[in-house]
Order: sequence, then C-alpha cells, then structure tokens
Amino acid sequence: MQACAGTIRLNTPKQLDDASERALIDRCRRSDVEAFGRFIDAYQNRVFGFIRRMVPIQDEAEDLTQEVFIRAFQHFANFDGRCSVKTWLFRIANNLCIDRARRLDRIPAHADYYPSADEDEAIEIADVRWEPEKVALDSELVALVEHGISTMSDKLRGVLLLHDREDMAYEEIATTLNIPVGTVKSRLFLARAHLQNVLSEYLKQEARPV
Amino acid sequence: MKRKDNNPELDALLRTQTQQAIQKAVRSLPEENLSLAWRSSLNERLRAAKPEPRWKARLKGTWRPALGLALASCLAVTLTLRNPISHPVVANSNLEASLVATYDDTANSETVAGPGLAIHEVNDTTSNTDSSSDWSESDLNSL
Repeated sequence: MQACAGTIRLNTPKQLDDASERALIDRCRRSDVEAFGRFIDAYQNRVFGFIRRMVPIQDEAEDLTQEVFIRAFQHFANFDGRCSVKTWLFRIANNLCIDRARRLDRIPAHADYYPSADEDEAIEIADVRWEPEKVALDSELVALVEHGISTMSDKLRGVLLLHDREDMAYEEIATTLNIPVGTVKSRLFLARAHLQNVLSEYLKQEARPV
Repeated sequence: MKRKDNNPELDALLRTQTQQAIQKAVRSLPEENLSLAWRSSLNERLRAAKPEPRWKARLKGTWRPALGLALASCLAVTLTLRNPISHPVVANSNLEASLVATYDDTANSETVAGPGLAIHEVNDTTSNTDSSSDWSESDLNSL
C-alpha cells in the first residue's frame, strides 16, 4: 500500500483563535465584507468538505457552499454568539443539505451494491481481524472510505463527518444538529460500524490469494 | 433530556481500537479544495447580497409573537361580543332587604312552629287554622 494521501487540516494558519474570532464577529455584525472574508478563508474548505460528502454532485455542492456563506452574511445580525461561528456555519450547511434532500427525496447512489446503513437497521459488525496499522490510505482505500460514507444515511453521515472529520465535540454536534448527546454517540457508533463492514470486505479481498 | 447522554457502555464501545481506526481513516481523507473562481464568484454574490439590517432582524424576531398576540386578542374580543357573559343583576337595596326579610321569617317560624320548618309551612299551618275557623255557628249546630 502506498503512503497516506490525506492531509490533516487542523491547526492550519487559517484557524482563528477566540479573541480574533470575537473581533471579527463584531465587524461582521456591522456588515463588514472584509471581516466576513476571513471567516470564509478559515472555513470554506471544511464546509465544502462536509457538503461535498452530503451532496454527491460537485457543482451543486459548490453552489450550496456559497449559499451557506451568503446566508450567514445576510443574517449575521441574528448570530447570538452562544455557539462558535464554525458550529453556526455547519448548522446552516446541515439545514441546507436537509432541505435539498427533502426536495429531491434523494436515493443514495449505488445503493444496490452496498446496502445503506440507517439507524433503525441492525448493523452486523464483521468479525475479521481488524488491523489498524494496515490501514494506510492509498487511493483505492480512500475511494472505499468515501463510498462507505456515501452509502450511509444522512443522519449517520452528518454525525460521522462532524466528529471524525471536523473534530467537533459531542455537545457541539448536538447543538449543530439539534439532537441529544446520546443520539450523537449512538449514530457515531453505527456510522463507524457501517464503515468497518465496508472496509472489512476490502481487507478480506486484499488477504485472499489470487 | 439527559436520559441517554451518559452511557458508559457506548462510550467504551466508541473508544475501542476498531472505532478509533475508523476515525483515523475518516480524518485522513484528503481535503476538499475550492477554486479561486469559486471564491471570486462568491465575492460577487456577497457584494450583491445585502445583509439584513439589525433593526429588521430584531423586528423579525418580534413581529411573529406580536402578530400571534394580536390575532388571539381579536379572537377573544370577537367571541366576547358574540356571546356576552350574563352576570346576575342584583339591586343592592333589594338584596339587603330580602336578606333581612329571610332572616326575620326564619326567626319567626322557629318561634311559632319550632326549628325545622320552613316559612311556607308555617303559613300553610296558619291557613289551615284559618279555614277551620270558617265554620259557622249553624254548621256547628247541625252536627
């Protein structure tokens, strides 16, 4: 397997500390486009990464990401500061994704190949020798992880992305999605179990002699 | 509701090696990058989009409850006017007089007939006595 192709985005120079975020919030409330641009710089890729995995079509995901920032800019006067700007942006993003899914009554792509995972379904956790040290993200595995994410339900996917991808705390996710913390935890467990099943198939095939 | 928030078993399951490995795999996915064209398009849209003024945002937060209150008030007024509440009308002077009269009657009836009799029963008794005195002398002689 090749070396890991992924990049970890945390602590990038674009990250905002609390003090500078507060100062920017005050400026944004006065409709300062330049200050709002700093928020865009800080969060555009993360918001897009979330939306891209919730919305399968690239162009649509890009449009929806723009819509998130436009709505945030237009309604910044309503931002009460009880949560972080990041949490607020992800809440707007999640709501827009839900609205879109309701509108289209979307069916996950390739659902016939991999069964979709939902909260109500009993997930069978594969009993294979799971060896985390073997998990290096080559392009094939990246594609498989992405596929596993795309085949789970929106509810599970949202929690998985916010926790494992965006490093949000359980409470923060609960606030973003407006669900109890216990539900966040159970959804996260089910989402990871679904992904484990998908990846276990891959590892089994890898181990099989040709 | 905190019914499921603290679940040690679930917390332990989430900390297992397998679950942590999945987390690591998801976290290590490549970052999605947006193009400069996307950003300039967003800047254009932001310039065109007018932010909602603060007063409008505040108004928006208050007009809905205010409208609800106004509608409820209108409904209450309409219902009141359609079905006026009928209060018993009692003249104050009559009330006092009737209370005193009732008390006097009760006291008199107790004096005349003893306790446990109502005033009309006392009157009836009187009327019976009166009717018995209607007998004339001739009637008595005829017996």
